[in-house]
Amino acid sequence: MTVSVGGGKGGKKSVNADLNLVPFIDFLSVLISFLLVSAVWTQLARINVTQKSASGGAPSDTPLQNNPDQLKISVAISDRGFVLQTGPIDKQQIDKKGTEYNYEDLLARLQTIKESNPDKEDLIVGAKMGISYETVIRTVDYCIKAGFPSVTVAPADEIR
Amino acid sequence: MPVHKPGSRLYGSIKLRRFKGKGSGHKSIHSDLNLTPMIDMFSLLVVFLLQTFSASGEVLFMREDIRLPEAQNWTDLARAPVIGISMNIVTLDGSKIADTAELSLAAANPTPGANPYLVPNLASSLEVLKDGYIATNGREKFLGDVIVQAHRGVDFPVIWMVLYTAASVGYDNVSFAVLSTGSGAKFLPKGGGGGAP
Repeated sequence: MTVSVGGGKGGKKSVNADLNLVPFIDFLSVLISFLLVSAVWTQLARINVTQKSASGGAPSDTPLQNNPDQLKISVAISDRGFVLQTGPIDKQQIDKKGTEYNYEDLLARLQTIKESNPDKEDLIVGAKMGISYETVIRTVDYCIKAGFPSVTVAPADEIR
Repeated sequence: MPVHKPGSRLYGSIKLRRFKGKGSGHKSIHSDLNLTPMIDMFSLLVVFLLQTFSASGEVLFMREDIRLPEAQNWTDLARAPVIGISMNIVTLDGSKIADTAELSLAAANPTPGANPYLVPNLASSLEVLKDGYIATNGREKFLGDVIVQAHRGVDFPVIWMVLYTAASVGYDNVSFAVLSTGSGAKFLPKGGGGGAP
């Protein structure tokens, strides 16, 4: 490849210079080889949950969300769908759509709760026997998406 | 392809140079290789690979018997003990701890008088890990981080038994390993999302 710096006229030394591309191509080849070898094709990540016992004791040694001043929000997963409970009285049943859980409806209702309680960050997800891990993870995922990043996971019968 | 009127043709085997086509000297055997497209392609490849490059390294290894669930609101993995739960066995850092079917049965039919959720083998192994970590790094650096790498079809009671056991020995900062699908979590807990154990 030639780099033209200016026109040379008769009698003068040419100002055209050859740019040596070989080291550049070598460097690119080595870089590509290294990146291909070290590439991670499956993107593994994590979602965090907080267990109700912060230090030492087993989770069910202490009652869930026992501070009376705090608003208690819980999502119980059962075979029928979700039960979204806000405070001691307000219970909303979110039924399945056919065989699928209605995650979008849960998200919409959680976002409504978040709008009225913007400082609230914690929430409990409870699952009954027979509920698969994938369902629990998707529910936790939607809870984080709605703005509740501190999710506690527990069996459904322990949500009081 | 044009059609020509048939006529006399000189066979290739007849070596009569003066009857053949005239050429002005030999054609040069040197030809310029156009490097521009190759360098363009290399540059694009480097940019793509640099974008997908992960400097955090392999914290977790994919196992054939574990199909992870997907999640959109994820954070990066941190180094921590890994509890693997497949449909058959429960492992801690690759060593077998219990059978998943046995745990599932124990959760469904708890033994009277015994703690239904505690997995003794897992508790003792985690205690050993915890003691080793504290002896090396000091108690104040122990954050109780543990990663649960579970198959998507495992029943929740088994997961809960593992979480309960881990929390009972101080591993209460639990992360679930997932396959990331979206751009990551927009909301993070105010206290931070945990770090290295």
